[in-house]
Amino acid sequence: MSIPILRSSRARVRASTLAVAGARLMEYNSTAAQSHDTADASIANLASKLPEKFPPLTPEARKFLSRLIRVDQAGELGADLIYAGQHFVLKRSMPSVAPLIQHMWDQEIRHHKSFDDLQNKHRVRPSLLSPVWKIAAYGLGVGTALMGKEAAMACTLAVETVIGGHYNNQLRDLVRILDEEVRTSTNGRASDELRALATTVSEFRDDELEHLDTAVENDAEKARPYVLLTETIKNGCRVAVWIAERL
Amino acid sequence: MPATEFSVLVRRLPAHLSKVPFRCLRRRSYHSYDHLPYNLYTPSQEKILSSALKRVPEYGFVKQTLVQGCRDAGYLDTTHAVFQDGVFDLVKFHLYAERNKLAALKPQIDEEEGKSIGKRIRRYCMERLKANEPIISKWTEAIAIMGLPQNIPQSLEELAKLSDEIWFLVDDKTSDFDWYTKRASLAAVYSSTELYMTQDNSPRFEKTYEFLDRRLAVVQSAGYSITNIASWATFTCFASINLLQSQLSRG
Repeated sequence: MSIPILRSSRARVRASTLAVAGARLMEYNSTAAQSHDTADASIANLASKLPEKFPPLTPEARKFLSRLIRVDQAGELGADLIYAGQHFVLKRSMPSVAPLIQHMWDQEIRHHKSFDDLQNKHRVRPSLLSPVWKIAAYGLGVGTALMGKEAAMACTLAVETVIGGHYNNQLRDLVRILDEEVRTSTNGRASDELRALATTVSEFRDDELEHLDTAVENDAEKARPYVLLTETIKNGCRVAVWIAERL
Repeated sequence: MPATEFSVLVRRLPAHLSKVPFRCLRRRSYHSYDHLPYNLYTPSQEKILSSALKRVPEYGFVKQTLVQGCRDAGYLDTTHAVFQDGVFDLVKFHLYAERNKLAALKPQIDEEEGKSIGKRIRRYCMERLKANEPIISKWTEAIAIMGLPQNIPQSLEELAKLSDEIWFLVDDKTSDFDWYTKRASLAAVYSSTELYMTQDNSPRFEKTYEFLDRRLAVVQSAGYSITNIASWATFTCFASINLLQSQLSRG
């Protein structure tokens, strides 16, 4: 009963990943790399020396980008603290699982730090409810870990499914903005800033999906009550995402 | 102001104030380095408003100043009608223009004030207050205009933007709730100092700058922040768990 649900959600995430966003992104990065190697290298170099700027972002794009950074920062903060809470409990109750949690936790710390940097660099305000996210995430981590290793893994599975899907949606919108930029720019390229952001988002999404696989390999589906637990956490995450985008 | 008009203003106050959080939260968005900034004013608007500002010491924040500004910039007197908020547009332009001038001072201030965040913040506040000096005799008029119910949301938004600009220019890195407390406390310090300045008769506004120092010292010494409390609570929590564990293991 639980397995089809799991398979379908993972399949959805994977399919959209490869088909839409990933391929387009590689295309952008490869054209950027080529443009330096071609015969027009001297012109490209000349252009790169000038402080060339792209036309102003539309208010919609700016709103989208600030929401993206705010919600992802809050999400990575949450993920960081969920693993912190799980690690706190599991290192005592089940020391054999602790290194696995530690590995995922370290990756989340790195993600959290990069979004903190992006938030400061681009002057986006952090989520107003960050104290709430901290408490809720740590509580979720500790709570599921107390229910056992399987519940902790089911929590990871639920969270990473929502986050992976959310990153994918963002990536699709980002690619749309990049497309628009390529179409309007004079040199047929998108800005480095947005390209780097898209690369970051896709890289982090891959990490999150790797965590999803890890959770499945570590008996996430054996958690009881599996459906209730994962669906509750998934819906909680969706609500949190909706709020963190706005507040 | 006639009594009826006043009662209308008071009745509409809640509606205007409800826009405050919207203005202060939603409008602060993504700052790009690869894209040109989003221009609030067209070049001709900027020309008119900056020439009008030069007339403020003479006329004050009144419609006459805007008319004179249009004339000085070589436009017809009636051009002032493009500014829908009237004189408030002139006030907003002053706030906008002076806020944007702060960024150009960054290399100089970084060199002169060193690494201390407190000193650099004080310097930016001083520089911003200095920009009010030429028009200080008329600034109470501007404060009155900014305090009208329909203008409060936009005025607070400008104040919030100034505070954010200063924290950005001192390279502050904050990613939690402190982001808000820092900006709110600086905004409170700055706006009270600005009000003090309008009543200051001391030579070269010495008393204003002393007042600024006192207010900044109070904020710094309080050191109040949600994060400090949170980290204290976390520490206490872990300490009590450890204590409990050791007590239990002793039996």
